[in-house]
Amino acid sequence: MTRPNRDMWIGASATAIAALGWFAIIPFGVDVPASVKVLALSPDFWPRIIMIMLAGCGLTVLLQGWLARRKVEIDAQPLESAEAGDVSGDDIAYFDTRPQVYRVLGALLGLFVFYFLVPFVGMVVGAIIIVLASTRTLGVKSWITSGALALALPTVLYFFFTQIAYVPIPLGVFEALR
Amino acid sequence: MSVDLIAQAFQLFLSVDNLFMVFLGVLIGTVVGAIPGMTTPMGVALVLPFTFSMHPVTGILLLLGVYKGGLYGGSITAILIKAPGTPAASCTVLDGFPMAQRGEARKALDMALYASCFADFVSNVSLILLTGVLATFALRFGPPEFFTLIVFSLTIIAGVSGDSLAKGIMSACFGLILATVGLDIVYGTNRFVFSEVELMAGLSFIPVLIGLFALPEILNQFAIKAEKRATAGSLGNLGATFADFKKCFVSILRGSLIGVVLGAIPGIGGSPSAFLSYSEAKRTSKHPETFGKGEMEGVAAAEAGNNGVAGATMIPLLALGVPGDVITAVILGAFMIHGLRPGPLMFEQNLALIYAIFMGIMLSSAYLFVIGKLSIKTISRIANIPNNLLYPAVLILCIYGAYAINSNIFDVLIMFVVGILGFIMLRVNIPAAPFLIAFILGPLLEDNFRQALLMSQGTPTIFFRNEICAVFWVLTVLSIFFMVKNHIQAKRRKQAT
Repeated sequence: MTRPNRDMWIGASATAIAALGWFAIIPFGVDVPASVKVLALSPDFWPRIIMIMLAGCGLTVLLQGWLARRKVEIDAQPLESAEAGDVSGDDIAYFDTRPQVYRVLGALLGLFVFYFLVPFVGMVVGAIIIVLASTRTLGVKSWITSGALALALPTVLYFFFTQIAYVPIPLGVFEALR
Repeated sequence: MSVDLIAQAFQLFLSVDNLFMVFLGVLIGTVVGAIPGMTTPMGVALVLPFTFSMHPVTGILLLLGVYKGGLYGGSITAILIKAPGTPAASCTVLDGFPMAQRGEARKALDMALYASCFADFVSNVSLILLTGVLATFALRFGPPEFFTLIVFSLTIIAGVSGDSLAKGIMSACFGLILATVGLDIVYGTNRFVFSEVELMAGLSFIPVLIGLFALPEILNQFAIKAEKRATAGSLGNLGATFADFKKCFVSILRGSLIGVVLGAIPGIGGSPSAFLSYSEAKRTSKHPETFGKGEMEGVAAAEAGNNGVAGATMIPLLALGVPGDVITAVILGAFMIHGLRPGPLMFEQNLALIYAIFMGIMLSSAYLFVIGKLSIKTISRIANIPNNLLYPAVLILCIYGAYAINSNIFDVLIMFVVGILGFIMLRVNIPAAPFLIAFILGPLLEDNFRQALLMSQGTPTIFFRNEICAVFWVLTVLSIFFMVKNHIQAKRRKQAT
């Protein structure tokens, strides 16, 4: 995807989010009391202003992307230069390979699995699993290195937060060990 | 200021306990500030019980040491691992982390330290000399003045939007909308709570901060090739030189003064000051295009703005008994535990004690420099850890940090969700800084806007009620004018080349 096309997608998405916010999320998510007399003091006044701004920005980015694409079409050559804006950062816009896509999706899934596991296995065990999984995925070859980090860091942090900062770290089924 | 009084103050201050406690406070603060999730207010609150049995001067100096150390400590992880230890250090990320990625971590840390110490010193001197004047000025700030100040501060967004202002404002809109989650301040009704009790108090700042900056960088490690990962970030052998400091001096001085003025106004805090200082440094720079890509002056300006508030927040506390932020509220508590009530009466009855505190505050600047220099040599070795070990460790630190703020696992979920949003923004080149600025300033903007309208019963002329409002409106218009002018000039230059 070229940058103009991507900008058009970003602009269209932002506009759609703003429309969704205006017509669905705000009416559903903001309770407006009947006693509101001054419009600017209403609880939904500010969110609506933000949605208008978001829609404006979305349409601007959409228009910029469309104009840039037209320019590219007229020039009949791929957009490489900074004519339609600086393209710096585009090198990270796409994943290099399919395994990397799976790795990111796996990492995201891992975060949510961790969140739902914490009430059962506790934060320390959850963190040990996360460190092991992520170091191996990121290419650490030695099980000893991964294991040492996975055991040491969550344990040290557990003792720091519970003993020094007095923050109770959840231990799940291991609560009896506290 | 009589000689007797100074002698009494010296007598109160010059003890081994005081000299050691200021040192210990700065050390604890630096460590606390460097741990994401351990905020400076948390550090001050943890140390508070230990001060009960101490002499008032010793106890208060210990707390002030933690405060000052915490302000600097936040920048260490902001530069090294893109996880600001404190909200005020979030601006330092913008140029500090790119510098670390370029192998100039030590230089960035050095400059952060020099700017912090200098700004802290300026702030302390201002505290000593200007307490009366600035406190009177700060007291004139009501909701309309705050609103105009925040509107002016929001023009910073243009400075951190990168190539596309529209995308920058778009990012800010996301930050603003997230800041509206929770109970409405006027009517107490739900806004975007969706029957989730955890959302009633709004989104905690630290999970959002970590999610926005640190988590996208961690997720990005999974998305890039191993060879690219291995080269990212190294400590670098060269520190910042005196010539570097001289080069950034104007930005540091300006940032320090911005910090002093904003610090003296109750309720503003270090983050807006850091962003305003950064924005001014970029606006006046001869090469603004380098900001956000690892510009040392950006680190200096952000840190000067952030640390410039340190002494100044004590101005309303000491002069009027009004705490400027959460930390000074805790320190006010410490004064009261010792039977002291800051305010005009204290200047009449306990002037020697106030001078003794001033002496300790000045000493804390020197300690900050020493501890900072020592910590750079040790803590900055983090940059040499291979990324495939560093980032999993950072992830765990972020999880514990997000949880520790409220001892609530829901905050970890907030961090994950904002992290995914930040990751998408990173991949499609939408800047994260405007999001953060809007998230910080949004509630202040809305609250003051609505409070002002409540005061005037809906009449908008209240936003032009005095010269302070007028000055901020003029500054806002000028800022927008120069922004547009610079944008057009930059575009023309680009077309010409």
